Amino acid sequence: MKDWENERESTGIQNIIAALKKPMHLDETFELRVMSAVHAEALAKIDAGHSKGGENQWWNKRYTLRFTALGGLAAAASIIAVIALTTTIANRSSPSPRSLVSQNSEFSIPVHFVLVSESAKQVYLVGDFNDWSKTKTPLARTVNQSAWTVSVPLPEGKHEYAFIVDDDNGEHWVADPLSTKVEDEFGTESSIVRVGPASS
Amino acid sequence: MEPLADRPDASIVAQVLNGNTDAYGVLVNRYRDTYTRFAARMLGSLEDADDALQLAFVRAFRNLGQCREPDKFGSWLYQIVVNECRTLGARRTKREKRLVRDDARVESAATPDTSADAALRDEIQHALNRLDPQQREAFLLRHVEGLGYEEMSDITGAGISALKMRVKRATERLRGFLEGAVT
Repeated sequence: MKDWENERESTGIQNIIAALKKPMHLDETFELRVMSAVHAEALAKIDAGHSKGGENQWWNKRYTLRFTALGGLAAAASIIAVIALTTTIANRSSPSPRSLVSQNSEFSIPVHFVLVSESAKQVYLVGDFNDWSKTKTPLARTVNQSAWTVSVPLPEGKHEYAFIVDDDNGEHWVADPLSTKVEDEFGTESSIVRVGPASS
Repeated sequence: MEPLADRPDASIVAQVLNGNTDAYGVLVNRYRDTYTRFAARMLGSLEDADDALQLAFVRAFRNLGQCREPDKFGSWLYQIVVNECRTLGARRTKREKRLVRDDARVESAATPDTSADAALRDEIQHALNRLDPQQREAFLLRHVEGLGYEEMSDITGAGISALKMRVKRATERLRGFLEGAVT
C-alpha cells in the first residue's frame, strides 16, 4: 500500500503547503475587542454574584459578545485622537447589525461603550436601561490603561445614557460628545444610543 | 519578579482565575497569531477567522475553570478554536455564503506580496473550500500547522486512522483541483 504521508513529497503539494503557510494576521484592534468582551463577561459574573434572586434581570443572562473590526477601529481612532489632545472624551462604537446579533437572546443586542480617560480612577455607565444606577454598570480599564469599556445588552429602541467619571476632580457627569445629546429640564446633557436595524 | 508576559501558561491561567482579568490579555496576545492562519484557511477569509477567534477566546475565558491542564492551555484553546470553526463553517455553509477573497485587506503582513502569489493563494484557498470540512481540517492541521496525529486526535476527537485517511484524501483531491495551477 502506498504510504500517503509521502504524498506531500511531490512538488505540487509542497508548493500548495508553502503557499498556505504564509502567516496571516488579524488587525491591531483584535486584542482590544476580545478583552472588552472578556471584561464584560467578568463584570457579568460579578454582577450575577452580587444580585439576590435576580435571575430575570438582564445582567444575569448569558450573552455572546462580538465586535467588528470597524467598531474596534473607531474606538482605537478615538483613543489616539483623545490622547493627542490630552483631554477626556467618550466614544461609543456602533457595531454593525451583523456583529451585534446576540447568540443567546432574540431581544437584546450587546452595545460596546468606550470612554477614553487615562486620569479616571473609576468610571460608571448610567442610563435608562439600568435605572440610572451608578453602581450597576462599572466600566473596566483596558490593558493599555488608556480607556474604559463595558458591553451592555440592550433591547431595541432609543436609550439615554451618560458616564460618571471619578478622577482628580471628583465625580462628574460626562455625556458622549460623539453622540446625539438631549437635555433634561435642569440643563443636564445625556447621550442617545439607538439600538436595532435602524441604528447603523 | 518575572513579567507576566514571560510567565508560562499555567501561571497566567492561575492569575486569571484569581480575578486578574487583564492577565488574560497575555494569553490572547500569545495565541492569536498562532491560530489565525488555521481559522482563516479553514473558513476561507480573515473576517470569518476574526469572528471565530473572538468567540473562541471569550468561550475559553468563560470556561477557564474547566481547563484541567493549565500548562497545556494552548492545546485546550486549539480544541475550542477548531470547534468554533466547525460551528461557524456549518452555519455559513447553510447560508451559502460565498468565498470572500479579502487577502489584500487581510494579509497586511510585512512581507511584500505579488499579484501572482495572491492569485495562486486565492486559487488554493478556493480548492481548499471545495474539500469536505473534515478533510480540510485534517490537511491544515497536519501539513500547514505541522501537528502530529496524536495531537490532532486530541484536538479533533477523531481517531488517528480516520485522520490519516482524511489527510490522504484531501491531498489527492487538492492535487486534482489544482492540476496545472501548481507545479
